[in-house]
Parts: sequence; structure tokens; C-alpha cells
Amino acid sequence: MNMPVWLEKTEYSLLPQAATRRRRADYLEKTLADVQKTMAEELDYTASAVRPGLLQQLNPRVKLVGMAFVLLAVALTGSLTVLVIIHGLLLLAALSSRIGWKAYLLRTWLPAVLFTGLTMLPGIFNWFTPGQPLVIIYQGLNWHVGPVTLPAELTITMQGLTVATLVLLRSAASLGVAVLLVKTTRWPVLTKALAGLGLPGLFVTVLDLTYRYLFLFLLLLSEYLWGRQSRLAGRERTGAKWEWIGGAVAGFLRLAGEYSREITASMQARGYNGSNHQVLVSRIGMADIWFFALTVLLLAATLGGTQLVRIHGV
Amino acid sequence: MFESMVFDLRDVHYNYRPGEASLVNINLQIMAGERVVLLGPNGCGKSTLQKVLAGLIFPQGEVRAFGSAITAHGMRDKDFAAAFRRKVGFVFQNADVQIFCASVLDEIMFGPLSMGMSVAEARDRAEDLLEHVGITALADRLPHHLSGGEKKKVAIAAVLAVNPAVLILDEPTNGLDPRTQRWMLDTLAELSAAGKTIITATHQLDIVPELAGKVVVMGESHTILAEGGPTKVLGDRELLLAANLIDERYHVHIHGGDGHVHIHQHLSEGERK
Repeated sequence: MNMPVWLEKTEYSLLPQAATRRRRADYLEKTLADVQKTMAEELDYTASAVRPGLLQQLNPRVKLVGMAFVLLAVALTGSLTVLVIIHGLLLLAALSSRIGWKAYLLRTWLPAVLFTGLTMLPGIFNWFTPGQPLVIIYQGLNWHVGPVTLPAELTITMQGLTVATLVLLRSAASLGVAVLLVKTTRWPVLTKALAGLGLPGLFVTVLDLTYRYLFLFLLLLSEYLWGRQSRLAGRERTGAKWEWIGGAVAGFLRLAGEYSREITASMQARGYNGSNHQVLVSRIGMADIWFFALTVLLLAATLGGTQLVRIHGV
Repeated sequence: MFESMVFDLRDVHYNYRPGEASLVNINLQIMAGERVVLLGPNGCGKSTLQKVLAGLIFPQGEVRAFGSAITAHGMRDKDFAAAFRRKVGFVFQNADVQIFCASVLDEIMFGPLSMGMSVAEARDRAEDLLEHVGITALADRLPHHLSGGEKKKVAIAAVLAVNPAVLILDEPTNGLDPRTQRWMLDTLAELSAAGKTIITATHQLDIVPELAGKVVVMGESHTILAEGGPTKVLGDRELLLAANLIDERYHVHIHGGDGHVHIHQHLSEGERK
């Protein structure tokens, strides 16, 4: 079949002048940028996990157990001082593991403040947590909002602020432990360590596959977004983006289904029976013994301190 | 200045993440109507370079196309981006990612319709292409029900529907059966004869003589190692070995004055038995 006449014509001409006014990226462009950023961050996590540093050199199982002790201490303590000390230790561990303080604080405090902080915010007021007033916002007023009469005073209470700070510090410390763990341990090593500590093989396999295929799907999503972008030869009509999103979601579900069937078949072909046979070769050194001892000490001190507070009401 | 130079890249660098280079110090000029093959091993940056040329990612350094600087900021101007996309078509290695309409016909009409053509005009254009590519019978089929080769044909037809002056193809013959591969090579030769600029990325040496007027060899260092005609580049065994494009057993033969090149592997005595 001959080439269509219109396709035989090739026109080379200059491009028009691009507008100098800045336009904000639309949500699909932002999604593409975010996907790229997430993949770069994932690569950064892997690079950080193999960097020489304090936590990177530890035996992954010892590190996992030690971090679990720290988490336990964070959950059990009711003392703000102990929590501040734990935060200090976590920051020190981050710096010694060559994780920049900015990166560490951003990943722990930003989500903690945004999620836990905002959730706990109402709790600092006397309407939710009665107690000793610390800051009086108003007092002795008789305000009505429609049929509702507001309480005569609004104050920030000592008890409310203490509880909110405690929860916020606990949440940030827990996030800090998680950040340190994933930034200093490669994911496959972490899952092998979990398997070594008795997590069933099926869960470990699911965790491994999830991680592996999340990355693959992010890559695929980038290609989808680029594929669409490369074919936008004119102004999009209204609703075209939504049609594309619908098509892309359907395409993804179909591909995910195809992948999962093929993965299952290939695993079965290699004799997979639900158990995980990955071997983690790692020795226990002096650094591991020190780390373990310190975390046990921290947990014991926290438990001891908590008991003292209970007995003596300090 | 734009006369017959379609792309002009100067000191281009690109990193997907700090410290991990994908493109290093790329300087490349591509003229109108040229047939350029980007040749290199897996992971050398061929696809990244193609995405730079297609205005999908924006590196450090200077990228000019059709006389204008191609930047992230400039491509946010919808009219400028649309004008660029009408001139530069990109066929992805994975056809699945660029096929998103409900039927093959819709897929091919997508470009012409977004260019502002009437439905009748767009349909005529799509039917021309369906016939030319040999997939008229597939017009109403769901794209994801097609075979790999059929999907590739749909992807090419969808890109050709806007009649771009430049066609960028990432590993176009990968995973295709011999007949579809032959169709692909013939189609690209035809498009080149019609004056289109064809930029192909591949690591398959055997198709290079047919595809290339100019070969750009990229190495594992993510730099351009060499540039030249196919006879010169494919005849440089040291270069091909350094670029990890052949191993010790591969031989390239250049026959006669026409510069015909063929590449094949020599088996050892033990393997022949």
C-alpha cells in the first residue's frame, strides 16, 4: 500500500515563541514530577543504606531487635524528659549514620506535626481536656453560635498541652526509628532479617514483591504520563484528562493482573510452596553487642523510671 | 540558528538522582532528514537522550529544536508544546504506555483531533493510516487485546497521524517477529524517503546498516564515544568492543564498494559439533 499523500509531505519550520509568563504545572505534570521524585528518593535510600555509618555496619537482626526496644521504650514512657533524650539519641544516630540532620528532621517532624500535631491540637484546650489554665484565650463571655451556647471560657490547659506534647513526641520518635531503619538497611536485607526473626515466609515474599513491583509500577506510570504528554499535539478538550486517567487506571489494573498471574506462574514453576528460603549472611560484631546493650539499657531505664513514677507518683 | 539543523544539544548532562549520571557531556547536532541511530548497550542513556530530544525531560545544558530552546518552562506554554509535539513524534519501546484510547480507530484519531481537525478529516487520516499500516481489520478492536506487533503498528500509526517531521523510536524492532520487523524497517525507509528525520535507539547491530545514515555510539560512561557513517562505525571493532556492543566472537564484514555491512558470530569447533 502506498504512503498517503499527506504523509509524504514533510514540513520543517521554526517553532513559535514560547510564552514568557510562568504557568503552573497541571496535576498530571505534578504527578509525573512526584513519581520522578519518589523514584529518586528510593534510589537515595538505597545509596544511604550502603554508605559506611554507625547503623549501616550493624547486623540487621540486631538492629531490628534494638530498634524494637527503642520503640517499646517510646511507647511505655510517660516522661517528656525521657522522650526528649530518646530524640537526642536518635538524632545522634542519624548523624553518625551519615543521614543529614535536615533530611532526618524533615522526614520525622513534618509528618508528625502535620498528622499527629493537627489531630492533637483540639486536645490542648479546656473544652476537651479540662485542667489548670496555662493560656487564657477568652473568659467570662457568653457567646452563641446559632442555637449553641459556647462555654464561658477557652483556655489552653497544662494537662492538655502535656498530653498533646507527649503524643507528638512519641509519634515523631516512632517515625524517627522507622526512618533510621529504612535509611540504613536495604529493603531486601530488612525483609530477610524479619524472616530470620520468625516472620512467616509468605509475608516476607509479599513484602519483597510489593517493594519490587511498586518501583516497577512507578516506572510504568512515568512512561504512561510521558506517553500521553508526547502526543498532546494541541489543546486538550474538556474532560480529556479525566478520560485518560480512567483509561490509565484500567490499563494499570489489567497490567497488574497480567503481572501477578505471570509472577505466580513463574514462582510455581520454580517450586514455590509458600516458604521463604532466602539466606542472610551476617555476623555479630562488637558494634552489635554495644548497640544491643545500649538499647536494652534504654528500655530498662525507661521501664524502671515509669515504675518509679507509678510507685512514688513523681 | 535554524536552517536545516533540527536538534542542537550542547554540554547536556542529566541525572535521575544526584551522583548517578544518565547523560554526560552530550554534544549532538541532528540535521533535517537525517537517519540517526543511537547505538549503545543497555543502560547507557539512549532512551534518556531520546526523551530529552522529545521534550519530555529537561537536562542541564542547552537543548535547541527547530531554532528554539526546549526548556521545562517553555514546554508549559500549551501552544508552544503543541507546536513542538506536532513536529516531533515519539514511539516508546513499550507500546502499551502510549496507547490509551478505547479503540484502535480512536487511538489514531486522537492526534489529528487534538490538532483541531474536524472529525471527518481525522477519520479520513486515520483510515489512510490503517490501510497503509495494514491494520484496517483492527479498527474497532480494543488496543489491549492486540498482539505485541499489532500494538507497535497502532503506536506508530497514532504517532504518524499528526505527520511529524521528526520520528523518534526507542528500540522499534524489539520483541517483533521477523515479518513485523521487516515491515518496520521498510516503513522507516519509506518515511525517511519522504524527508522525515528518523532517530532510532537500538543495540541490535544487524539492523543498523539499514536504519542509519549516521550512527552515534554511546558508552557505559553515558557519553558519546563516536559519531559517523555506519560503515565506519561498524568497521571499528575496538570501538564496538569498548562500547560493549559486541563480544570477542563477533565479526563485522564490509563487502565491496557499496559498503554493505554484515555482522555475525563465529562458533568454536566444540560448538559446531
